[in-house]
Amino acid sequence: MVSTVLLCDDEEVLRQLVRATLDNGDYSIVEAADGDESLELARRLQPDLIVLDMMMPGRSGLEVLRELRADPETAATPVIMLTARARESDRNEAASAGADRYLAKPFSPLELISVVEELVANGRGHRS
Amino acid sequence: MVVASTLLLLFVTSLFVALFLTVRELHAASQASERGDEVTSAASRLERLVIDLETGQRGFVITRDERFLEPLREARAAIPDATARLRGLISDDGQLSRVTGIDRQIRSYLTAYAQPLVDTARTDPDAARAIVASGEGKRRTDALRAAFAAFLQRQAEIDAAREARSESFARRSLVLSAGGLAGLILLIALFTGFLVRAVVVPVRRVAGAAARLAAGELSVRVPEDGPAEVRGLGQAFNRMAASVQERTAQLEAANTELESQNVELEQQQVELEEQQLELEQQHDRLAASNEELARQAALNRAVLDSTRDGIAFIEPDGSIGLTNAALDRMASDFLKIPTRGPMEDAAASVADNTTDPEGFRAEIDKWTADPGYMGEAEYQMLSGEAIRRYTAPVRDSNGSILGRISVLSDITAEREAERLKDELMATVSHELRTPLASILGFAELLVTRELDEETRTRYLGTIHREAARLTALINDFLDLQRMEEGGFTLALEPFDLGELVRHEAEVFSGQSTDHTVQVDIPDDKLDVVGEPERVAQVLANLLSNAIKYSPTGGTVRVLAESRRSFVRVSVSDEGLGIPRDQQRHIFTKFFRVDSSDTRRIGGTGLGLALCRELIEAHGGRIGFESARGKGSTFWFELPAGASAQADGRPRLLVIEDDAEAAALLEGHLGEDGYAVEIAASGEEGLRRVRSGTPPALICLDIRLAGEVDGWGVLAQLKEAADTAGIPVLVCTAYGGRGDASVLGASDFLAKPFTAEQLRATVGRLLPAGGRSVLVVDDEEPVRRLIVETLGGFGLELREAADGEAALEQVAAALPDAIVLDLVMPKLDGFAVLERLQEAPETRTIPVVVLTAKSLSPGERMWLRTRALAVLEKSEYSAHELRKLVVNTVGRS
Repeated sequence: MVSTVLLCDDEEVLRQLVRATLDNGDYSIVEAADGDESLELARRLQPDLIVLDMMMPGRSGLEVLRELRADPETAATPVIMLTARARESDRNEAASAGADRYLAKPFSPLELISVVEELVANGRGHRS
Repeated sequence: MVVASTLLLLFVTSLFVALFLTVRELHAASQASERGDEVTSAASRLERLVIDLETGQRGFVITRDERFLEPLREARAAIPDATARLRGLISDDGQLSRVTGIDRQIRSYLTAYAQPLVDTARTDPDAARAIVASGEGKRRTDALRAAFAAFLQRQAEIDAAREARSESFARRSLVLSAGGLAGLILLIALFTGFLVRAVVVPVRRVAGAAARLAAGELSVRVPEDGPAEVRGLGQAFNRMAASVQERTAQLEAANTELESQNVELEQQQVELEEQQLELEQQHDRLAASNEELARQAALNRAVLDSTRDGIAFIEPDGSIGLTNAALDRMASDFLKIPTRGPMEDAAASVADNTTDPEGFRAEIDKWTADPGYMGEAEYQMLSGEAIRRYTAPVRDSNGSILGRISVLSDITAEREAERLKDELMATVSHELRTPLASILGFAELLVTRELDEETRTRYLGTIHREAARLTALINDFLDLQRMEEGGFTLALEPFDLGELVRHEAEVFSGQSTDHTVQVDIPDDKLDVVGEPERVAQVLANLLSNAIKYSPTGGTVRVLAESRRSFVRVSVSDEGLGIPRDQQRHIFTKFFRVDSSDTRRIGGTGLGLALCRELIEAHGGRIGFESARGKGSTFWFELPAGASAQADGRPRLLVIEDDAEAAALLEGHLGEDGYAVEIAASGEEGLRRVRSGTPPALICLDIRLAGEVDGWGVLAQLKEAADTAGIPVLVCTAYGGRGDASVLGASDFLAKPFTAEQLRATVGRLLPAGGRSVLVVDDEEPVRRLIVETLGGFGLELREAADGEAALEQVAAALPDAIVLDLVMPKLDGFAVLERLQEAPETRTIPVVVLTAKSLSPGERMWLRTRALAVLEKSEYSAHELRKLVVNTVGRS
């Protein structure tokens, strides 16, 4: 079964990388290039997983995350923060905002795919 | 006394009564005597009237003349009155009866004789005469006379008796007066003696005693005897004396008391004066210490007020006791609190203005609960400021708490700096991590996955692009860092900016087929001064941005134009434009307009920051105009170059890749009046030499960055006929003097060398054209100074020590310039100038006057028309003199 992954990053090349990483037929990938678009697509598409950059134009990744968590429709959607901000404080901030996982750039595509698989499996488990 | 006085008074009174009576009797006797004389007189007058009457009657009888009757009529009229008067005067009865008899006789005479006779005489004169003859008349008259005589006789007797009695009275009164007077004198003498004995002596005694008393003999007393009055006086005196003695004793006692009191008072006064002195000294000390305290207080206040941090002292009762100027400023600027009154009110106001009122209040509660509380906390104000508050108890030397100090530091700027630093770190981190993530990520995919050839190639292409992006980022970043730190020098040279713009526009036009690049550049050269590579970098940045931000099919316009002292280049796009609120950040490093489009477009965020640094380093300006949705126009201006180079100075080209060494050479040679151009590589150097006017001299480094080194440059220069004649000075840190000479270098300078060595060598190499300067000054050290200053330019420097010698030198060979002193022996500078004016060939020699003389306005005016310039020795500037002389000689 194909899972929908919403990929939010303002860097085109990063989106290419994530797309290439998850390009194994299990995932249908939808992309957003800024915060507002991310939020809009998340609400509309109800993806199985969201990969969220922190520094984006418009709403930042953290703001998007908080709004997602405040919305019952998306409150339980697994979110991976994928960000260039690698400080401990950034990590804590993301955790308290409700991020399920935190990956700092540069990241290992293998690690990303294992995290995605894990979260999608859990999410499916929760939903069923 | 009284009896004696009474007796004396009685005696005197009786004496006076006796005398009075005697005198009265004398007076009565005298009056009686006077009345007696009057009686006699009145009787005599009456008698005479009778006689007159008889005489008249008789005459009429004889003559019958009526006139003789006149006495008769008068007598008849007067007799009754005379008789009555006489009667009034008489008191004696006998005499009175005699008068009555006389009166009867007279009446009888008149009526019985006289009147009938007259009547008869008128009627019968003879009868009348007969009557007369009868003697009747005579008889009657004699009777009357007899009566009168008797009367007068008796009156005389009465008067004599009265006289005798009067005399007796007079004698008696005389005796009485004499006896009374004698008695009186005796009595007065007796009385006086008595008075003396009974009154005067005791009184004198009292007076003496009074005098002695007055003299201070207070015990003096008088005998209390003698008459009552005197005794009374003595008693009164004695009482008085006793009283005086007693009072005096009392007074003396009181006086003694007072004196002792006085002594005590004087003592007290001395003590008081001492105390006052002490007090005054204390007062002085207090005043001095007050002054010191005031100074100290003012100093403390000044120190407090000089402190940047706000300081408040809180009294134990919780009121604000003291604030410094910084706190007052903060209070009014953003804390919005009162600086007087209870601290809690102020704290409550501050709490409401912070982003954490609860935390603030909790902190304040700790203060109030624990006087010894000490702590520090930071707060963010709603108005944007950040404050740090430190509080501690204030204790005296014994450790007792006097109150509390609260120190507020405005840490807004620190926080802002930290925030900016964090932001920069985050941005740098982000900018580095993003391409790294792509490189590592795709590399990992390449390593871990079975991929077809096309995908592998694609991934490798991405990795390469991202690696290049990372490199560009790092280069830009390092460039920018260097520029910001000031360790960046530009190799400035004049070049045609138009040509450079045309070239860059072509490059970018070829890169993007989706965009049109329109170029609008005038045909004339646009000469500027700058480093062409750096200007090209700026232009590339602007063009790249313009293309990136223009929609597909959009047009990028490039415009270059000359504007007086600078050349302006602008690059316009038809892109998104820059939101107004972000415009002020546009040249800030890592700043990128916040939108998804800009992220899509990419970029390091350093390009414009670098552009600004580069343009400003060129002495130019950079800016932009932009409106959202209508595109942006970025422009820069560089100083125009041609004019700066057209001053006739000898051009020197320095080919040197080390910016510091180049700058050093430029400094020394520029100071000596040369126009210095720098080429940072061998290629550039060769291009410069070939493209424009050949330089007068080339300073050539051997180790050069780039393909061609110094030897290569030298060889190429000497190969070409048009550049072979340019003298080349090899300046290098390495050996090779022989090689240099073989290859045709004119001279060789081993690094490091001094400015003087450089100057001397350059001066030797530059063709002076046989130009000479005559230095005229009577002081040898001054001539040496000037010669040293002007040395190294290939000038022949001649010297003269006075005006005459100078004119001889001029006559021998005309110099190209003269440096002339004014005050000299034999012939002064003014005379030299005058003589030079006389001949046409010497009139045009430029003269620079160098003098220590203070010139009058008139002298200055005179010199202005005859000398090129007047320099003062007190403001001697080698640079100025060199520039003036070398330029002058070069031009002439």
